[in-house]
Amino acid sequence: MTLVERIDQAPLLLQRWAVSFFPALLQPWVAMLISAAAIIGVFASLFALSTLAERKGLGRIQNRPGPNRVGPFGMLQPLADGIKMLIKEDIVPLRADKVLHFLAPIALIVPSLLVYSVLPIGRNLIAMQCQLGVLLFFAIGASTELSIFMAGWGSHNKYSLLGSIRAIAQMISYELPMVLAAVTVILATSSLDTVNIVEAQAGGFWAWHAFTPWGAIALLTFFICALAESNRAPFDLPEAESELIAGHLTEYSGFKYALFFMAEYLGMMAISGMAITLFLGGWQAPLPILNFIPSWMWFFGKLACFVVLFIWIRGTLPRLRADQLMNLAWKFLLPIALLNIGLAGLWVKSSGWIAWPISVILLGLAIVGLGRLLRGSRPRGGKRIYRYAD
Amino acid sequence: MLGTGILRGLKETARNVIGSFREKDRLPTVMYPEETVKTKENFRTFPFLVYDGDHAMPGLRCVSCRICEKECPPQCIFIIQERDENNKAVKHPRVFDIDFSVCMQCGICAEVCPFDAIKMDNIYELAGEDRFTGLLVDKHRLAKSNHYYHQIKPTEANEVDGRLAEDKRKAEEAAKAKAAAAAAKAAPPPTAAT
Amino acid sequence: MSIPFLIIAAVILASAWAAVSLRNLVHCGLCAALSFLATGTLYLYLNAEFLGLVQLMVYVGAVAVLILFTVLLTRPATEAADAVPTKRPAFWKGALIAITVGGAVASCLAVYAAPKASTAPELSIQEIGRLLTASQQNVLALIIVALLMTTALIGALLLAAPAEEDTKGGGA
Repeated sequence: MTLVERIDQAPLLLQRWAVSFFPALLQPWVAMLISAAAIIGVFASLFALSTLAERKGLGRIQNRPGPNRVGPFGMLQPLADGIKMLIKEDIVPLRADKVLHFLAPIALIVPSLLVYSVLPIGRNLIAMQCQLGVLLFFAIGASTELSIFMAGWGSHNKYSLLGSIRAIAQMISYELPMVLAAVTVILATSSLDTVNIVEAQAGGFWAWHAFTPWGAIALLTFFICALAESNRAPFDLPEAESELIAGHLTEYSGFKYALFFMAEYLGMMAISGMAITLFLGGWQAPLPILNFIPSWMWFFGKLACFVVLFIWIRGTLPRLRADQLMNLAWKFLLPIALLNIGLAGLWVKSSGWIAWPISVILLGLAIVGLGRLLRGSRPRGGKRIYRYAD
Repeated sequence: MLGTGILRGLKETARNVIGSFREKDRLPTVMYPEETVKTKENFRTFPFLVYDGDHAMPGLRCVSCRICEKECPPQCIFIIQERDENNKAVKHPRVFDIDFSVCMQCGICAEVCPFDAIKMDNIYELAGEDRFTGLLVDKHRLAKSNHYYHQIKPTEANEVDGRLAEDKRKAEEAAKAKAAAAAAKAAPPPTAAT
Repeated sequence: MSIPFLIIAAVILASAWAAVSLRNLVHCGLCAALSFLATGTLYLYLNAEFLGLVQLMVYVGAVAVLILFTVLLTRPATEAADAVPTKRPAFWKGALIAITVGGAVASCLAVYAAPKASTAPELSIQEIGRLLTASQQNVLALIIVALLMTTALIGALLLAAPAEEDTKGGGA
């Protein structure tokens, strides 16, 4: 093993070394525990970092410096936030459904962490290699909707309930095009295993799925849906602080709120990780010459780019209206994703340059046409009338 | 084309982010306790008493006329006139207190003062724990030199100085004329009496 | 019978029992979701990974949410005192449905006798895919299902599309 390989596999070697101290009977369990602890540790600290990056980035976007008081350049701000969250009073509304109110954040954070088990973070660095990795990711991701419902309903607050219903409607709507976008990759690699999918994109950035006509569109679709799935701006209707105060988060405080917050960021990073795995070559270096850089650094570098993009978009775009949200999902993303699956099939079958012009023409037509449709769809009934307002 | 607006928006915010490191216009925040904005000349907060010369108490312009006390809308000024040993009023305040916690910084006192003795200051870092020790200010703390006045409000102070000098000159001339007249009256020219 | 199996089975039965006996309909719905989840876990435990994950995705992700939405949209969820029907006609109807469904399941089980093999067959997702698409019979079924779904989708879009008079009339 050369030094480069050693660094590349450092986390795995470290795990093996730690496991070797335990009796053989316990070793698989300890290995599992270490993987879980590593995931929780690494991604929780990334969560802290990304909150800081978000606050500072949004600040710069809005011509202000952002947090800069705690520690050098405000670096310790997440720590201060965490302490504040921990020592805050935990308030449960009097008529709330105590059990659901308590269970909701837990039921949300567990799937959010669970989906990381199928993300290949580096070469051989995956907590659970599973034949059905992609399916597992989406299946577990789907169960977060129920916890949001629990939070909204358990709070006994109409804003919470409205927010959670909005959130669920949004998540179900956007899950469809997201899964369909992922199906193209499954079609092309004929595998649901995340490790296989990453290995299929080896060789350089031109082998990445994002650099095929269907892959580019699927990545775009996937990314838009990722924004909506993680309830991030411009799709943050469920939390719309100006209308719903904070949606299902209204009645949460202290550490439960922190858990919700963490789940949002974890979901954002998990979905970015999935996008990287499916379309951007996972831990593969963009050029074969750059292979000396450890594979996990490539993964985290790409992840950082995604997080920055998320923050950038949040700082730029205004929130969508509810009907625009639904129109975008059902009238634009879904048809595009369906067409895209067909084109991916064409790409696989023809396996040549003939698929390029056909795909570009068809997708271009579809995007322009559907875009017209989307732009033309105003709220029904011409001028808006406020029936109950006056 | 669909999406071009989004790209334009992203470009604009990116310009903000990059610009915030390079241009002052894109990051106008002032880090307050460490750095402060220089106040404008006609920025005003609380009143202070102007004195001429080097010594505060003898140099106070205030003659204890109590116009400001009467005019003050929230009535935050409290004046007791000085009296000499014969219990005769002296043109000097014995007590001149302003309650800064009541003062509403309207500047009427400075406007009505016929002697230009009370002017508006530009201090603002006055937060304290106790309003009676920190914000009930007596004449010793209120007294600030004319030099200080020139520092904080040069234009206004020059104008006031000019006016005061003019008044003084006029008063002196008037006094001179009066003296001359008095002298003339005292010694009327000898004319034909008949 | 292993311990994990017993735990999963207990969770399935308990949550299913709670789903039909609790007074609060939302709690019932959530217990049903828990039951679906535990069933999915059971499939995973029995190495039927594909089935288990599809169970999670379809039942926990979609059907449970559908149930909860239906509950929320049809009656005030907070006043669920008389949520569970206790009148006799309702009881008999329920019993009838239970007997019919149970009979159907039992007859199916009787036709397909329990497999003799005690070890689970190794079935990869590729093989499932091949089974679905290679044999003539399955392809036909798949196409029919796909057509049905497409029809349903188009129907839903038509229902959701603005009515003619609305677009012409310019508002109420």
